Amino acid sequence: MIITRNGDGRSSERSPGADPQVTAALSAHYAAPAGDKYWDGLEQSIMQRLAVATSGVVRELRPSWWSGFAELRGRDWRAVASVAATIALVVAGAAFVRGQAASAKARELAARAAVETAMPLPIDGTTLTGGRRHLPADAPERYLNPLDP
Amino acid sequence: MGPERVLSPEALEERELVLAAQAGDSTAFAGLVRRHQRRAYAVARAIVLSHDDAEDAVQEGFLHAFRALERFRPEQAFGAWLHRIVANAALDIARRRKVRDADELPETLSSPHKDPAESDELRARLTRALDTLGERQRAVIVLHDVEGYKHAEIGVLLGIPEGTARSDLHHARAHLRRQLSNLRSES
Repeated sequence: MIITRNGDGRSSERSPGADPQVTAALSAHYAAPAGDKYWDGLEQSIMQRLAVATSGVVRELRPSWWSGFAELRGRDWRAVASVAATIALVVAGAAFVRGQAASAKARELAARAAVETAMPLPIDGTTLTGGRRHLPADAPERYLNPLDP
Repeated sequence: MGPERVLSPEALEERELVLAAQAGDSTAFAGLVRRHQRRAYAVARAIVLSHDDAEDAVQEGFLHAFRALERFRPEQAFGAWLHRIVANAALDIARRRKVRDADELPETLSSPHKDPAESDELRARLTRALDTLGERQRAVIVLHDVEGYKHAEIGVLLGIPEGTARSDLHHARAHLRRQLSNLRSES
């Protein structure tokens, strides 16, 4: 069905049977806002709503990776939190074990180095006595047992 | 081959706007909004109770029309198609409002107008009379007597048979005449 109207859309004919006074009062009661400013504003509001609605469609078509979080609710969040906590625990445990192993290895190397520098291995007996010429002959024993006379 | 329908320059321009809007041109759709928003408002305002609801209905209507634009056939009258959509949006809003306001007393009944001037008194009486009128009868009388729609067109807009629109108009007029006749006999 085609509805045809004049310039502002209203039929120019007066409705037969209508009370002119009532019609005038109704027209005043239902009058549309006058002034172009109002209609410009309404047009802008409509186009803005349209732009928002259109961008919403684009978002739905191409969801970003974080948009999945927005869909999580209640129990979903708890499941994600427990999985994240488990992963964090495993990573922390692995880091602790690796740290302990590194520390033990470092301690071992340090001890080995200390032993090697403090007690050089004698090549033979001559070397040992030759290096202690300024000491008495029983010096090693006294050093080992200093309370002996 | 049948005779070609001759279109007025306005109709041709509108058809171009519709085709451009269907191709995704938002400026063309803005042109359609500018062209039809006043009429769409009048249709919505006849159906809902307040200006704000009419404005919402117009916005909703244009939004629905934009989404359904690809299904619109350009040989149809865009205005008639759009007004039907706006009328549906307005009917939805009126339905929701009715449910929400079911327990509230209408403002016009709780605070009667006391202006001594006859025109104001007439307006106040008219408001009260409209409040007591069924929403469909109110819409029919406004669309017919104020906006100039024919019974069949009102039937299409409101989704009712033409005969129902005709009898609604008759009852609405009689009701308003009765409500306002006391005022005239008093003055």
